Amino acid sequence: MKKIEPATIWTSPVLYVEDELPNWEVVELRLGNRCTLQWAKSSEEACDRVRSQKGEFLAILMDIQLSGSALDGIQLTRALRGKEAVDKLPDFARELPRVTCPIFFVTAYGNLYSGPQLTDAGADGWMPKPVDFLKLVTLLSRANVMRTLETLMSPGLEPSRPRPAMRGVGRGGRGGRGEGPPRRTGKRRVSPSNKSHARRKGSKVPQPQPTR
Amino acid sequence: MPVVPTRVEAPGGGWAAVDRLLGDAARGLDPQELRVARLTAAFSIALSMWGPLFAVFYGLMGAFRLSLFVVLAVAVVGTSLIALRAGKRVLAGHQLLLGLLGVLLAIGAYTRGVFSPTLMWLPVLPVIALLLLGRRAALIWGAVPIAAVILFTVAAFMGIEGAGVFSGKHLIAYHAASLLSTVVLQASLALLFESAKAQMGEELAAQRDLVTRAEERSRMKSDFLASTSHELRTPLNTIINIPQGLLDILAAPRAVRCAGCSELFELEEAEAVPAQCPSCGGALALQPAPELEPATTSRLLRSVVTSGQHLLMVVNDILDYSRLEARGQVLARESTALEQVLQQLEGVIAPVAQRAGVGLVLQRDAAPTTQLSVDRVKLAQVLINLVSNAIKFSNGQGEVRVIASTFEEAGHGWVQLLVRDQGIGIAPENLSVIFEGFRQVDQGPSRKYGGTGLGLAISKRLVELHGGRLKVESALGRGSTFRVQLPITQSHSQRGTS
Repeated sequence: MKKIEPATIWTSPVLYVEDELPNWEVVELRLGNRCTLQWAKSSEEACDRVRSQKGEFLAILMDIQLSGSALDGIQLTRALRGKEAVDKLPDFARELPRVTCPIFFVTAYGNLYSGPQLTDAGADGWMPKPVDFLKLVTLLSRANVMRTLETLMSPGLEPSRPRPAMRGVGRGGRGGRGEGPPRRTGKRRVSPSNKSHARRKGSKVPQPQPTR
Repeated sequence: MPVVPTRVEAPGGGWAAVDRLLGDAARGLDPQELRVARLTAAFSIALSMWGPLFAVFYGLMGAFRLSLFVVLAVAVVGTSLIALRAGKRVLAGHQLLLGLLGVLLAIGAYTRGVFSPTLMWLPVLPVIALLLLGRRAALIWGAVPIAAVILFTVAAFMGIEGAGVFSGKHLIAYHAASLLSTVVLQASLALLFESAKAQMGEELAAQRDLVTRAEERSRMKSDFLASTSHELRTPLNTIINIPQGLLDILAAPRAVRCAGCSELFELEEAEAVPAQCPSCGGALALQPAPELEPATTSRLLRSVVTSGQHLLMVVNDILDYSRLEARGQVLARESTALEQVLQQLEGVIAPVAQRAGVGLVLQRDAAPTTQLSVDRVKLAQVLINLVSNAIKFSNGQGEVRVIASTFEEAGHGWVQLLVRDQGIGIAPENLSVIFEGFRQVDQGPSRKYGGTGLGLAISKRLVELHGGRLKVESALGRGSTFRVQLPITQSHSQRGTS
């Protein structure tokens, strides 16, 4: 018998922009126990999700090929990062909230799209399909730590950042409930009770957990 | 796929006669060597034809000695063709120049040396040497005339003018003829340079064409790699990750939690739950095992199976295509009735059409007994591919019509299997690319329809392997029509009743 640390539940939802159901099923099965997942099937849906979440995601996982979408994953990323001229964008992709969370490409195109092309668009990394979930979980865990630190190190949240106050607004779609209460200090260390196995049930989303 | 020529043929059909003269010596030369050989032969022929004119001219003026020189020179120059045919291009070049130099100096010596207009031919020597033998030879053949001129000049200073065979009217005629021939000679050389330049331009254009084609091929190859990668990796994502995810849940180790300190412990495989928490001595409780809902599990497993089948299809397409590209495909032809082909098609494709919500009509305008000599499996593959494409691009609307008919062309009977849809159609500029391998009209990352883009390329090659034709016509937004045309077996060529 050995002591184990329960897996952390990530504080913010992860947005997966992906046109094909099987790929969504995979991510839902493999990541559903770690965080709230939101699925956007097209560039337009992705923009809706970003708006209703005020751009506050743990990370965005982005497919390049978005069948039937106005924008492909690269263009969408440029739009989210404010790197695309507004007049080139369809209406739904204009005036988006600032998206500062990491964006990771998850793509089935071998090396057709080179790294610089993706990082230029504003991506923080990319991984090929089939997805190596050990790697992806590591990436997302790191993003989670960074996000927690960020929250800890920014004092006086309420006045300087309007975010927490807006939290309740527009929680959209599937699993919009993943948000915790306003992260005031992040100091509350919560014992890892009821955390580990109960979460295993696929898409059963855990109740909001403050960061460790 | 376009055939890339491996050799640049030197353009210009006028060289055919020269090549015949060169015989075997012209074979297996690289373009540069061939050009030199042809030029050497051309100079040799041209000079041999010039020569007799002069011989006659001098003869008419009574200067038989000069005629004799010219005849000798023609003999030397003309026989350089023999060396050339033996493949000795350098020897032939020098021989030709030597003949020319000899006759010029001899005539010069007999027409008052440095005053002789014949010496105006001397600058031709280094030019010919440059064209036939290269720069070093040109230097030598440039030095020789200079030496000759110096010699004649020194001789003239010393009072030796050499004999003057011509005088009076003959001298005038001789001067005029020499000047005229020099003009003609210079003009011919200028023409020669001009045509060499034009030829070089053509070769450059051919090279550029090659480069463009190579670039096109390499772009197509990377397009292929991209779409193949996408088509292979997408199902693999499901095939690898769904079972792994299920396994993570099913084979998760048991865990216990301490009621006192809330610590979590993982149990070894067959380990019993210990009585006490090692940290605080509190009571341990087994955590509930993760559950899998049967409905979810079977949905996920079905997804794995579908992905596997899709992967198989993609792999088959790629293998089929490579085999056809490598010309390794052999047809197992057998005599088949048209009706049999249609029934087989209907059996496979009717459920697909139904599922897609697209009407399917098989119209038989040909006698059902019309005999075809085909590979039944391959023909079915072509037709299924065409009809399922038609269904795919119909977007669940309209109908797909298959019309079987016969027609006659140049005394031969043909069967035509036409597949018409009312789908999205193909833009005119894309009609030529759809039969190329690994191409989809909509290639970009926002493309709407999946697939390797190999189906039509495979179909076209298979139909052509049958001695048939695959044609397409289409209007954007109004659907596409594909026609498979196959020759009817000669022995059973009863006409259909169309």
